[in-house]
Amino acid sequence: MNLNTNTSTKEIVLKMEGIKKSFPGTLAVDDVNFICKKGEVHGLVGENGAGKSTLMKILGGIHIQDKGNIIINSEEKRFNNYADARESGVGIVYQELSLLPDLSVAENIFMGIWAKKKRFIDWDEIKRKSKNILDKINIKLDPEEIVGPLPVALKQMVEIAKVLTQNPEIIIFDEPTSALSREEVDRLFKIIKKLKENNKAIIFISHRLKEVLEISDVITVMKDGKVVITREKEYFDEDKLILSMVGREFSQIFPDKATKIKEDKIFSLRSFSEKYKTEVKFSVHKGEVLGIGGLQGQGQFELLQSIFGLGSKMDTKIIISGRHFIPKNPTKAIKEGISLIPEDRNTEGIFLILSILHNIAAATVDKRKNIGLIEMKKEKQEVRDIVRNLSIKIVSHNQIASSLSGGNLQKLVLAKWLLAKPKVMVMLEPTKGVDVGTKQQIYKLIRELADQGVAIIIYTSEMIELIGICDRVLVMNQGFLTANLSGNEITEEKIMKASVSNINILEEAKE
Amino acid sequence: MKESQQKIRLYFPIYIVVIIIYVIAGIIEPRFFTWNNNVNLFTRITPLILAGMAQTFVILTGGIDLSIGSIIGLTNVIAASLPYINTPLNIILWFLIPPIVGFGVGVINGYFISKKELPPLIVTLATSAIWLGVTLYIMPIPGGTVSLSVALTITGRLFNVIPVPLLIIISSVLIGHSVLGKTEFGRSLYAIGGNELIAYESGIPCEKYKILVYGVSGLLGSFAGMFLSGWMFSADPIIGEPYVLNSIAVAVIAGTALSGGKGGVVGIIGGAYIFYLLNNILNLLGITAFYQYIAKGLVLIIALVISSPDASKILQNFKNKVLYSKNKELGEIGRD
Amino acid sequence: MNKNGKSINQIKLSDMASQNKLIFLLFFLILILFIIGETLSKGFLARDHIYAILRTASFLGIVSIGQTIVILTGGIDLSVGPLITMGNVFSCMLINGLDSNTAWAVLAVILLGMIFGSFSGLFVSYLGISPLVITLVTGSLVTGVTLIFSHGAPKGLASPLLRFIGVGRLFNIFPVIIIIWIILSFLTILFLNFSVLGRKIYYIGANEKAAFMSGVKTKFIKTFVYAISGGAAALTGTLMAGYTQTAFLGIGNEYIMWSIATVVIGGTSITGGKGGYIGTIAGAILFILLESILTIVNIPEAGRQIANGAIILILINIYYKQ
Repeated sequence: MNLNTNTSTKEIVLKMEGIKKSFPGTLAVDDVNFICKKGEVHGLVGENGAGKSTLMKILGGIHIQDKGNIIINSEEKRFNNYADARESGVGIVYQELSLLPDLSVAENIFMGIWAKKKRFIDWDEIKRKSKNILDKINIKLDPEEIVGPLPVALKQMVEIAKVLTQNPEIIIFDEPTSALSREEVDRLFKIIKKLKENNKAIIFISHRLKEVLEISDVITVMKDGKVVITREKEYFDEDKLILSMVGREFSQIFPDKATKIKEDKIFSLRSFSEKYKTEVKFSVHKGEVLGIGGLQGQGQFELLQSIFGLGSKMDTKIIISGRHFIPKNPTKAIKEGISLIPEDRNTEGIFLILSILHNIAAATVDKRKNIGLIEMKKEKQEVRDIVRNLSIKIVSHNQIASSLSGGNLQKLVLAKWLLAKPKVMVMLEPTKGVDVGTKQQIYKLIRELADQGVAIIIYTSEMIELIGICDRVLVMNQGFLTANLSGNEITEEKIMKASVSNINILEEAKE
Repeated sequence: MKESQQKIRLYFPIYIVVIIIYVIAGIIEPRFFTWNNNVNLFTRITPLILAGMAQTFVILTGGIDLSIGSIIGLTNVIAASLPYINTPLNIILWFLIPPIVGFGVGVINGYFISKKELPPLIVTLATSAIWLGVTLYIMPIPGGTVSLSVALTITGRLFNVIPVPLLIIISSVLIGHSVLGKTEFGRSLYAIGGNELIAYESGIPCEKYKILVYGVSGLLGSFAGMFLSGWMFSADPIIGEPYVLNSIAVAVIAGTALSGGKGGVVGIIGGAYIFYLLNNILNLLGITAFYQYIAKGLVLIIALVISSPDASKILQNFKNKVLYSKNKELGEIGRD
Repeated sequence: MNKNGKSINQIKLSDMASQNKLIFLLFFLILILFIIGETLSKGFLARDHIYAILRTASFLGIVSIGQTIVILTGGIDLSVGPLITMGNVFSCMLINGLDSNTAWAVLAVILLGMIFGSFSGLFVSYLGISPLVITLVTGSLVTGVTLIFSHGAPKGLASPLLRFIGVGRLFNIFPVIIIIWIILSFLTILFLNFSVLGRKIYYIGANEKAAFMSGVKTKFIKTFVYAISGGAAALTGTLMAGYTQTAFLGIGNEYIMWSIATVVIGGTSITGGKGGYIGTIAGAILFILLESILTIVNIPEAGRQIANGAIILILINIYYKQ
């Protein structure tokens, strides 16, 4: 079904017709038509597994379609690899940046296409050209800077510059804002608008629906491999988008919040930041889901990680159910009942080459031991139970973790920590890279855990999530608390205001 | 951090260390400062510098060449087993055959590692045995000889002033540095070592270059083998053995990361110097060979520790813990 | 698609299935080699000859216990050669032919091996120095220590007790050394597959950061595995003294390559997290069998080296295709 009522008069640069692609076990893309016009931003949304990433990978030459045509500027194209796609004018700015951290900005931009002077690389020319490209998109960056130490937002700019060297007509942005602060997102959008002015066709893929609504001219929603709807953005609002994506409404994604928070504090924290020279104090009450908000990079991460004993720049003391404790390292933190869901599960939470069983048992092997030996039966049972409880889709417990999708992998991490029966759960970006269906399950789980008396502290950069799941939100700026919002106070406006406020509410309270 | 800053951070420390050790050596034993002693040093470090460069090239791509020792031995033995001794034909063969063999053997390494995608550690471990076997087949015990003119030239002086080894060192490092800094092939090595997938998507012919880099390693190894044949005026099938560890150590001290994507050859001269200066000092001090194993080992450890990234991290951690424990405010938790 | 344009879209069951296939292949090869040996030289399959092969394989097998465990954590131990030599030389020196010295001398030597191993391990774990480099350096230090204490000319003798362990037979039937290997193999397999510490070793090899974040004491365990490897190597050298009766400098040199090859041939991944000791056992027997056949055919040193290298190359070509 293709409800295409796109009536803009811009020139069509890309036509994907009747694209079909299946993998063993799934029909990933099912008879999809997709059109892009010059100077237009086409937003593409859908759950993980909806087929949008596969569709884009086909456009980028990374997968080859089983059926269907790709037509660019009225010419039919066949791509065997990314280089082919690139030559035909397709450029992709990936979520995981494709930059080499030990090399300079200029070298990264011109990697593989070095300017040459008599068989030797002409570095002056390369630096000059880099400066040109960066200027064109209004980025002030010294081409000689080494990429590694640059902040993520700037790295992304280098990535964009790199893509632009190929003079693409179609630029795909794949989840470009997940690591960016609001200001950085604004800056990115300015660049995208400039690219629009230069008549590029932009495809903008994101889970952040508000942003998609903001930047796109036309939006396509995909579900189960098919295009559900394609229309100009004015037609949509967030609810409509979600409805098309999952057939459920926004308000139904999140479970009800706690109606009455108990008085007892099950968790308290006092922390001094070496970097910001400020102090943070807060507590979590029984039944309460606490969120930490604010712009990225204001000390939230360091604070929460210090609860788990990570990092050395925070001096943190906590009380868990009356018991005083200073977290020195993860091993000790786990013994005290603290669990941490890491931000990057692939590098910090999952053992990709090990089995589901090994993965889930990883944080609790010491709890099932008998004279140093693992109690195999008990382990199998506990893993079996938790897999069932969380509805993790697996074929066998001996299956390798790398075969799971993002949502199931996140559930794997949760399963691992649930076995530890934690008293405190710190979650960093709990639904990153997770489809809406799984998100809903995770939110429900969070609420259940809170009701059972687990102290839940969440850091998330998704505003919807912060507002939707938390009973109370602490906003941080420059390493100190700027707001303590509960109930109806948790609004996007108040959070944004607090994110840029310079008032330290703890200092205020002292006066 | 700018690119130029990165380079300085790479080379500066080593040369400071070299100067320090040099001065200490001279203080301990004034004989050290004689020109003769220095020329001697140049000769000794030449093969190590060549081997270190070979290893650097390979390590930059994230690989390793454990067969470099055997390749040096193989080419050493071949260089000293050529016919027509003391005729121009022998000299021509001496210049042609060992490099071809070295390069060819390296390419075979590269084939298994690149095309067949086998781990470099195991492949070069296996081929080191194979090349050693071939070497022993050609020459089971030390022997062979080279043309007199070759031997004299290798250890001689150009225009009666400039020691040839010094020339070899300077020209090979200069060429190596240019290749790494200014050629497609050279820059591609950094890319491949940094992230091969990214390199591939940038259009770099990774497979081809990986084979080539092991060929280059073999080639440089053959230069070392040839040099040794001229210097020793004969050959020894196991002459290359110590160069396996030493070449890796020198490459690492010179700032090349074993994970790949970072490093260079300019620091190799410094690294090789540190090595032999120590040997030299110990010899001048009359310390027996047995203790030299220990001394060299300890110095290597110090060098490794200093150049390891974790070391600076631990130092930072230590400073932090000591510093801000003074800033503790003993306030009460639980009140908010 | 990965860099070679292949689509990654298979659900993979745990490598246990392919690991098992590998081990069958190895034991099959062992069988074939035994048959080849018999055809080349009658009496190859004689009981005493098989014992001789298994005896030699025991030495390789025991040192490879340590190498297997170290490689499973993603590391490597290039100091096993010098440590075997050290064990060999020091045990002869300390025992000096007396039974009464045997027990404490053996323990002392194993302890010394573990200390050297821990030395390497500390640098790997706490300073992040590459195992390749530090174990090479430690090996160099061990060589120096061995040379210094033996003055370059090892003296001493194995005791009758040690000789019995090295070449003797239990109840005059079964070689003691093989029994020791069997016991140690059993303990190793138990350790790796069923113990908590063994499981943690796999976690570290599979993803050290994730292991740390899951509460595994990665630094301690990584140091520990090098200590085990050092102890195993030293023990091997000591047992060899029972076999050779006097000490030999350099006796351990070839074991660096052999132990690594044995582990890798046995299916343990060089990057860690996958594999185990059963494959190593097969690998050890395979190697020694090959050596034995080469000896029968009278191949000189040159040919042996080539054959060793070639077999490693051929076998890894086969595995890494999967």
